[in-house]
Amino acid sequence: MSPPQRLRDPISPRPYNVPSVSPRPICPRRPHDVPISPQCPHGPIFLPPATSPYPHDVPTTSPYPPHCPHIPIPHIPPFPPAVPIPPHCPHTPPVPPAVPISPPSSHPPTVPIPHTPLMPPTVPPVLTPPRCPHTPPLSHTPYPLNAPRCPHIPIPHIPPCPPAVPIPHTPHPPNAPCCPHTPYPIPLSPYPPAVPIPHTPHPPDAPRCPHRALAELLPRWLQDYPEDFGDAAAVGLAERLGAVLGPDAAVGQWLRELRDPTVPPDPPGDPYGDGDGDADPLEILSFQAQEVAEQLTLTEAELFLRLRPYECLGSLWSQRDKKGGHGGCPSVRATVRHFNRVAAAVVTSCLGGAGLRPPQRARLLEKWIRVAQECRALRNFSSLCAIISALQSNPIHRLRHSWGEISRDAQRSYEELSALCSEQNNFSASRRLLLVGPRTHPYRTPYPPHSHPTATPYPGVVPYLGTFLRDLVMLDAAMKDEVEDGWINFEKRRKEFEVLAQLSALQSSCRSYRLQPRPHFQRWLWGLRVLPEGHSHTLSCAIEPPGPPPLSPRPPRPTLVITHFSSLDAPPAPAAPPAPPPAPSLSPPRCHRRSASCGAALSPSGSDCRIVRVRMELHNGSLYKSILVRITSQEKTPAVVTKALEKHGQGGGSAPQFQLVQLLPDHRELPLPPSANVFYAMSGQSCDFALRPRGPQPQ
Amino acid sequence: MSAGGDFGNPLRKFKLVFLGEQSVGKTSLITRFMYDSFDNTYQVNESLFVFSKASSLQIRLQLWDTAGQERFRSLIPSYIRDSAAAVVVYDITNVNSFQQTTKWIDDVRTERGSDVIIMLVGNKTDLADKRQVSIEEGERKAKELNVMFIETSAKAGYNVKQLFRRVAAALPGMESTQDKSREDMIDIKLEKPQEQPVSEGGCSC
Repeated sequence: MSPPQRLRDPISPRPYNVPSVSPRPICPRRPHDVPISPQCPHGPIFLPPATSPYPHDVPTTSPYPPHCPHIPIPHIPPFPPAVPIPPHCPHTPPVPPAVPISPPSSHPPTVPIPHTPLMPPTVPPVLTPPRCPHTPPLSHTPYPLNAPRCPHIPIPHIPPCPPAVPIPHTPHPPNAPCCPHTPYPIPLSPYPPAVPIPHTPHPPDAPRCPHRALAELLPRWLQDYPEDFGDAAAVGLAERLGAVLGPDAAVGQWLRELRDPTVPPDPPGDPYGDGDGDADPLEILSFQAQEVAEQLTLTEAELFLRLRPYECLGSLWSQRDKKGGHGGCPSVRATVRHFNRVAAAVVTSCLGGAGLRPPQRARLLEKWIRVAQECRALRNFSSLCAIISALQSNPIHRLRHSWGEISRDAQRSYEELSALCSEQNNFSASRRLLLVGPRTHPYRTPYPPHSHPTATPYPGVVPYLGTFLRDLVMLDAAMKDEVEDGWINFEKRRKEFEVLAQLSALQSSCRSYRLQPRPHFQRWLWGLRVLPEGHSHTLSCAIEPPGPPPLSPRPPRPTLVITHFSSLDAPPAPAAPPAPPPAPSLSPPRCHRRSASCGAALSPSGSDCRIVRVRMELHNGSLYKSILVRITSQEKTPAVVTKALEKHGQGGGSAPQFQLVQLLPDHRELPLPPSANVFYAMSGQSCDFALRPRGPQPQ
Repeated sequence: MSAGGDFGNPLRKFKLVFLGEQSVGKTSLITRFMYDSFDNTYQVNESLFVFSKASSLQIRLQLWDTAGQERFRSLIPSYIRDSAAAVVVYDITNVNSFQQTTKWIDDVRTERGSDVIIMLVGNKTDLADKRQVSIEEGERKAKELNVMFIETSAKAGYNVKQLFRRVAAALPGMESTQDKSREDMIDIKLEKPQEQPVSEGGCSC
């Protein structure tokens, strides 16, 4: 280390040729001068030659605190790179263009000299100007004492800038909460707002003012997810938010609702009480099916629009976390309630009029099937499922005589709509329809709307909510809220969000309905008495007393087990594995009770026709019979099969699926090819035939 | 629809419907039984909730879950219809869910008469400290209503496999195979097979 005195002498007497530098503080390039600037690391490196014009020596009695003289370096010709270094607070390295850089001559009074009382902060001139000047000099310093003394590092310790300093160029009003230093809702910040503001280096007209973004975000957040702010603990929060966001009308509305969260909106669909029971159940016949469907859709759509998707979450709806709590998910409950109400109306009206004969009751069933069709056309899957499930419920389903009287068209529609509502494959049918547009109304054709000749397309949609509830409940049951170590299970959240987003998208579609309320129908619907389940069953039994096990309305599909005629009297075990036919016995049909004409029929009645027995056993074993078929000499095998199927009540259309086989003695069989003329091809040894499905043989 | 496949060697197929109040753990029992997680099967358009688990040996079980739709009252009968067995679940920490099982069993009887296997299941035995329904109460009710009974814990995997085994063993046509190949009746691949069979409730079927 060089003795300071040796260095001082050559430098001090030299005048500085730059006018502004005359009152300059101590030059840091003289680090050897320990008493004056003991920390300056630059001395050995940048020590100017004796001929240098530097005005290094400032007396220690200078009115200015010891300051880094590097700031005026820009003015020194040998160090041009130092020019852009701003002579102001180092907190904002890039100088805003608007900042008027004071001429060097004015520096001493304005430069924040007090900030750097001990240590010259500037970078050696060779370094890139915009970089933080703190570290590079430290690396150069040969004096370890200097390193921790850099005043720039502990920024908070810097005394507040004097107000005269031109650094805060921001044109913010003093109350402007735009300072990015403040955490987002300013009132939430524990710090007085005035504190951080002086530090703001905002350029004027900052385009990305975070407060402005907040002001846009928060109302949207409040509007779309009020539940996030809804609980009682958040009431104070809401008021503070109101203070931040100002008297915005929309926000104020939401905030008012937040402040009064205990008053839920009136659930629609129940404007006339809960059913006083004075409505005539048979009055449904006086309404047009389309009108009924539209009114149901009107209510359902309103309910669906009010639905808060998050209430469908499995954790909420399945009450996973609150035992016995019945107050949750009001919007979902309202939807479910209306669903059950519609189903109850169907049951009540179909069981109404105790004295109705089956054909009359069939008109009630047909009416509701038509309403279901109209709901399908309106894409109101919720009411559609409610009606169909009510028709399928036990009290209605068991009314065989009434069902037997409905028209063929209605029967077909009912089956199609039932398939639509089926939970088979996880409601895949109705899910598909939710996604397709409302262009085609295939179910509408049988019953064109008479009241609205110019049927307009209905772009709206109301889904059956149970599908989504089930998805979410299953998701909730299957996936944990948190993965190991307490991390949030984002996979679960993502999947749940997908379902909720789907619901939200459907809600947007739901807004497209344009329906007018008809109070008359609504009064009737809500005036119907809801029959308790046991009561409806009793009523149903009074209409049609329980009898033998009901036959399926549709003929069961035969899976065809062909057995031998003689086994008729000893019924085989039901649903027994289809064994090859037992040994055919050609003994006369001793006990054939079916037909008195049996004996006569079996004898050939003419030269060009024969009468044979054709047997088939249906899949469930309950229809099990043989019939007699007349074969003429003009018929080939398909015609005989068709005739046999028709006599079995199966319809001839499926004839190509069956093969005709003649059963011969000694377990022999004679399959008859389609090209054969049965009359000539059959063997004379037997009159027994069997119908067998084509395909793999049982053996 | 060639009936040839069924004609040759029909695979017995049985529909099991899960009933009970919300949040008693029906879905958890199914997920625990099937895959221990739902993750791999969650596809909206696939048959997610109708599990068909075919055993190479005997039967195929179709599990139908009413999850999330318990309150859509009119829908329940269509679930019960055609089912060969009904598993009525309650939560042993929730008395109300236990009382409601009577209604669920009545629903099954109304729809199916006596032509159905009913299993009463007390779930969540892992929450023993919060138990409100004793195992004796469950057994008593099962006897009164003439149904089978078991207690399980879907969470701990306790008795879950046993539940399905016992239902399957009681299905019609299974009597002959009940003794000799009971273990093979359902091909279950549980990921945690360490469940230990415990004393089961009286099976009155």
